[in-house]
Amino acid sequence: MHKVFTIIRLRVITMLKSPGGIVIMFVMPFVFSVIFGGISAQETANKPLVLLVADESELSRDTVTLLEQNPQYQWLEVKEAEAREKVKTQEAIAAIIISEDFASKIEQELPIFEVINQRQTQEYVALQPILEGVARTIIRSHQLASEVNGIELSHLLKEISSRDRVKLEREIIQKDGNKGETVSLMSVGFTIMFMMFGIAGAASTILDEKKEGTWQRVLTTPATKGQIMIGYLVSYFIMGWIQLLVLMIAMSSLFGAVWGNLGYFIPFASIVIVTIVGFGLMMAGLVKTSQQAGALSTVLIVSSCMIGGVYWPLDIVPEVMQQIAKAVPQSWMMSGLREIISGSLHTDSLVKAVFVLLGFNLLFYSLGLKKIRYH
Amino acid sequence: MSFWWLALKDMIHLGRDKKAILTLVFMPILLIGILGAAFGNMFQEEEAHIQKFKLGIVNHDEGELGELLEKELFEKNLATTAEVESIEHDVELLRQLEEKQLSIGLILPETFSESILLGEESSVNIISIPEAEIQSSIVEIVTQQFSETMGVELTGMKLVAEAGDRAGNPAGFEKHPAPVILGNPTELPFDVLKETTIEPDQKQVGSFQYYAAGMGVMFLLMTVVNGVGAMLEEKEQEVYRRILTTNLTYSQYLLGKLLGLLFLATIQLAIIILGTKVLFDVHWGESIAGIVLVGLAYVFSACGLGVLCGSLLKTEKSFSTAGMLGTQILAAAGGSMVPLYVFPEWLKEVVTIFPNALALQTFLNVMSGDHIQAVVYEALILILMGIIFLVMAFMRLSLERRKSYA
Repeated sequence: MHKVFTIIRLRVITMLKSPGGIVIMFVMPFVFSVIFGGISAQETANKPLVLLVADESELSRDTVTLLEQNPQYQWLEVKEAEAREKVKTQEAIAAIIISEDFASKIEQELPIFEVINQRQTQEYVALQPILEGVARTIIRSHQLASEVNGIELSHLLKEISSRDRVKLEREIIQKDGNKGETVSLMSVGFTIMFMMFGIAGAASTILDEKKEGTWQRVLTTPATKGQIMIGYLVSYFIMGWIQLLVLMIAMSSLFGAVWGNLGYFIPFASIVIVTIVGFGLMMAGLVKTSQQAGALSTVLIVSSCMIGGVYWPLDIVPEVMQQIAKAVPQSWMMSGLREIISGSLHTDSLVKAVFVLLGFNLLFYSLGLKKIRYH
Repeated sequence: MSFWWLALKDMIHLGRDKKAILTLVFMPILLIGILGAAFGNMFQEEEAHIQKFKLGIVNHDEGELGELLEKELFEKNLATTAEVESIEHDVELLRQLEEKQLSIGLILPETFSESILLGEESSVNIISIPEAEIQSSIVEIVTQQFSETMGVELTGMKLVAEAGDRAGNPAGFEKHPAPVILGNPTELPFDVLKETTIEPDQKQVGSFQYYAAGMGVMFLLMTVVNGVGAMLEEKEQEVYRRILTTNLTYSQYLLGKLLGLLFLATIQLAIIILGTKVLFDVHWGESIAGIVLVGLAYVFSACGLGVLCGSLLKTEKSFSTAGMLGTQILAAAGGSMVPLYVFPEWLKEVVTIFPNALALQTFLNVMSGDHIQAVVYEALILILMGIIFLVMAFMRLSLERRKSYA
């Protein structure tokens, strides 16, 4: 045991002293947190901007009021030229041109709104039902106004926009029955991806050490191969936790990110890190040089992250791909972390995620330890 | 012109290395394949196909609208999307959600109808399991639109009644009018939106196109990291010293190496663009010249950035690890994974100096129909960036060399 500790101490100190190690363990997680923590905190602070181009007529004003009631977007009225410029530079997701002659447009069944957009992103797709909702309101109001005497369209629209809206509160189910707040889970996937790149790369150190001869020297010590291996693996595990801690502290203090019940989070995150270390070990076992390990693990990490739903939500991919996603560890890491961070803590999902990850561990470590050449 | 030989040597070396060829060709095709599998059939089916989910509704509403929403809307009109289950108590709903028997729970308050009638605020709770984010927003939109549609009808009736009152002729509307027959709130009598782009001949960029360009741009950065990593490795080994014993000057050495890297990256980008186009029919825009220009300019600036970073770090090891993480951060911040506007303002300003962010936006512009004239400016900036990076790298390397001789 003493020998293992000595190796761990040596490895950790070496990593803490090398500039590369400091960059990987402290600087990168911090930079990462600043960028991605911003997205999570985004949801309330910085809504996507939608521009409105409307004239001064009464009906246009009413329409603008109706649209502006929607709280999910930030609405801004501008002149048409400016709107086009801002859509072009991607400052706004779309610009909506409102013309006043609704009546004739509705009668001829022509589009009511002209929407200028360059990129069909998720936020833009979500904007469409909102515009359609307002259009429906206008069409129906127009119908009412033309069918019934005594109602003026503008008056009707004003009445409608003065109504209070039904407030919809979305939340995620909580284990203990508490009222939960919605947390953004977007950064969970990116955190996993980040740690995979950080740790898997470092695990190929063994290959470098072999080349430089230090590995052989370690082998001459009284420590057994098992002890050396455990020492190395534990030191990577510690390194992974340092990264995660820096990330957690930075995101919590800068953006108030939540990490769920730590009693669940810490053990599960440990399994995740062990799995990633195992992945790195397997890589080191499969290839000859650290150069190859780097290239191969890049492909494997990026492609499995794509499959596992790290870059985009799995809801938007076909059924087959959703099934394939279950064959990569990332999807299980995500589902486990999602349960914990959101506070839902569904026992079955957690147990399943833990067991599947243990299965991946078995695969990675048995392959890695079998393939790695000590001499 | 002896530096050509060095570039040629690198190329031959690469050509003989089966593994390198594999990564050069296999990697992008694999990633494109995954992309295609994930987004490919979005072309045929316009709507993203969300699997049918279970929705539990607890209706405390004392009026009629809650039931109308539940029976007419969710049960009939959304039958293909949601399977509705009526639940008596909140506790039961929460229990079923906790056990994941339901994906979404909807709790309508006692005053649901009343508040819609009077146009007052009321709050409706939508509770979801963590993985059902999209489903929960569907329920939100439907409920929202239901209450808005009802609001229009009721306001209309109120005005009619008022008009009737004024005429001394009560129109016969009751306080709780019978709700009109509802259509599907997600259906419209005709197309109400006319989608256009800034220039009349431009097209909107779809999500497969977006991710193809985004991943392509990210992938090129990775290739550059690998390429520069190999250069550093050579420098650590004796090969570098041997090369220095030849007639090559130091600048020729650097130039030769840079040429090799540029060539490698160009092939890589060409494979990505052609691969996505041929295999998955990704539309990269009308202007071939525009794509070529932007592509080459981006390759140049990315290589410049790679060489600069390589000159700052000493060992291949630290460069590779930091490079991979850095690539991911650059790619993410540059919009390869999520669109730029989800980021805070300051970051959007910062990323304008990232070559990958600029290249991605320019590629997207070409995709939406920009011609070569429109992208010359961006291409020039990319090339300029590349030159600045390279000059900085060269200064740093010369300084280091001078020190090593001193």
